Amino acid sequence: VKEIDHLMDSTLTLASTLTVPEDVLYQELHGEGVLLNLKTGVYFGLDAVGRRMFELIQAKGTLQPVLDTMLAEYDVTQEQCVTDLLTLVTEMEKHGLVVRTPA
Amino acid sequence: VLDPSYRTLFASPGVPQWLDGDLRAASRSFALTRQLDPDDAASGIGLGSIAAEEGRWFEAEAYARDVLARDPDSIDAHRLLARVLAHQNRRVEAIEHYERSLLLALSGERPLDGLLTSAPGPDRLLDDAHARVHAELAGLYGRVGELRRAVTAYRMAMAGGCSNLALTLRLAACLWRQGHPAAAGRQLLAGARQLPSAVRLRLRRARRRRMRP
Repeated sequence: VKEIDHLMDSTLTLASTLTVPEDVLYQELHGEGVLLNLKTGVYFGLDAVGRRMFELIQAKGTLQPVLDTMLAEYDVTQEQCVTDLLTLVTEMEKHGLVVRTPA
Repeated sequence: VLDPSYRTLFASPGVPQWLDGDLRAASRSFALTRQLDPDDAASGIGLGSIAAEEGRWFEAEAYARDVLARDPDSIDAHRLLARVLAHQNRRVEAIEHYERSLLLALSGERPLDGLLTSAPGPDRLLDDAHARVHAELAGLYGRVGELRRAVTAYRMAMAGGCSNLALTLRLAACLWRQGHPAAAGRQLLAGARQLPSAVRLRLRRARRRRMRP
């Protein structure tokens, strides 16, 4: 499993395209968000920034435009934002909350 | 000197009396506990919940707000206040407090009747009523016209184990109003399958009520 995780992590780039599976429910709650994977029962909380990232991933699919929008909206360095975005996506991918689609 | 931080819902006899249906005795016990310790959240929530059950909604609201003033992270107080506000048709405010209670549970807070556990683990949600709150929210979203959110909340509630005929039918109604007749039909079929168990449950409850002294 670790090897697969490693492979998944290593290929995730800003050019990666993601979709949210149909059996994942998303609800906005008081400025934050929760995700529920109906298949696995994973229930995942997102703070305000994570929620915005997720909504942008849903809307745009590819990570580069997500990053561009985040940089335009938030006072954050590109380096920090890239790290946070890739970390969040890796975590969500691990729980089946987003899946990578071929470019 | 004993450590005073060990607090449970059963710090006063109010809870067992309440569970026995003796609201008057429970009120007295909660009031006494509150006199001795005004910061005791369980007694404030208890008095507020009894006030709500007896239709004294303004009093219930005052108790909930008082507990929140002392502890803004009280899941129970947010839920009691949301219940009161929903009853008063202050739906947007009710939604806000229910949503905050869910987020507090997600960030590790637990309700007063949560499990007493020394090692809950970072990924364990200690909130028995979590799915039920999603169901309450679903109803409120539906009433304020947020149908998409209502549908998601119903589905989250059901996935969390809060599933019954009424919720299934409400979900069907929301899907119908959203313009998804096929999905609404599927929920109606699911509702038809739940009908026998719903009838059995009603009969059991009626029997229990008759047996109560």
